[in-house]
Amino acid sequence: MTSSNDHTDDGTRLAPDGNEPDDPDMTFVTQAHYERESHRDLTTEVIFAIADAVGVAPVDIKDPPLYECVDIAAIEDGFFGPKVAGHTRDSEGSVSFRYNQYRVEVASDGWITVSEPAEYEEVSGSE
Amino acid sequence: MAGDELPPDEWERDPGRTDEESVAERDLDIDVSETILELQPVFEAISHPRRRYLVYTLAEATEWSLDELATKLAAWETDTAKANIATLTRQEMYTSLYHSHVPKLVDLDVIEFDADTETITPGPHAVQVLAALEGAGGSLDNRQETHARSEFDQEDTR
Repeated sequence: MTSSNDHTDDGTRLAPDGNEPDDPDMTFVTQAHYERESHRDLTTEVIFAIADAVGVAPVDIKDPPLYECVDIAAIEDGFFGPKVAGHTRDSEGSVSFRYNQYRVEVASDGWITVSEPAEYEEVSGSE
Repeated sequence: MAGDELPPDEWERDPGRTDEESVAERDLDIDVSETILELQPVFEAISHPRRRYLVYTLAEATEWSLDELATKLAAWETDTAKANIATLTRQEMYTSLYHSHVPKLVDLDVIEFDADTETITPGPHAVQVLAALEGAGGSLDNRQETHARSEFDQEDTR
């Protein structure tokens, strides 16, 4: 699974919208935006973003299934779910989790940010 | 507030049966709670249209490759002939199934998934879930059911 070569040291460390990862040890890799009206569910959007980060086709991201890492359905429901008892959900913030070496952050505005440890070679297996 | 009480002849037919009835009620209580426990996987399984679709397909054939299912389901959701499904659409559906709905249904024992061959077969609760779909409100997504059960033409999927 660690087939990705580090191709992020080319100056593109900042997200297009300036969402810099708050953790200085993490390096921004890629970003995607989840649209609540899209036919893509949050799971698909996250996996497509990770595939973009790894540089492979989304269907080649297999191990592990995202379902085993994080309760995506709960995040999708909590941030983007339907109205509850007539009130829109107004939770603001973000949730982040690890997928292999990547850190994936899902924010309530729909931005999905994928980062990886700045010095991945040295810290692999130490977390 | 219903004004009418049950007529006495239905309310207490026979004093001699009271004990029997209370026993029956106790049995009923136990049955109800057990039924609710058994229904939990059913409700979870059918709460998402993609999972309902997947369960419907198990009535048509008991073995599916994930790729076939993704194509079939993408054809349904985009209302497109299978031959015209864009690769991206199929990849999206495949991803959604692989990373979300398939492991969820495996968790609920509704399907079994062979990760090596990426083959889906019915699990222990499949019959139960299918029966629930057919019984309660299954007609609500009658068109989905019909599509899911329709035959899968494999020759034109790529």
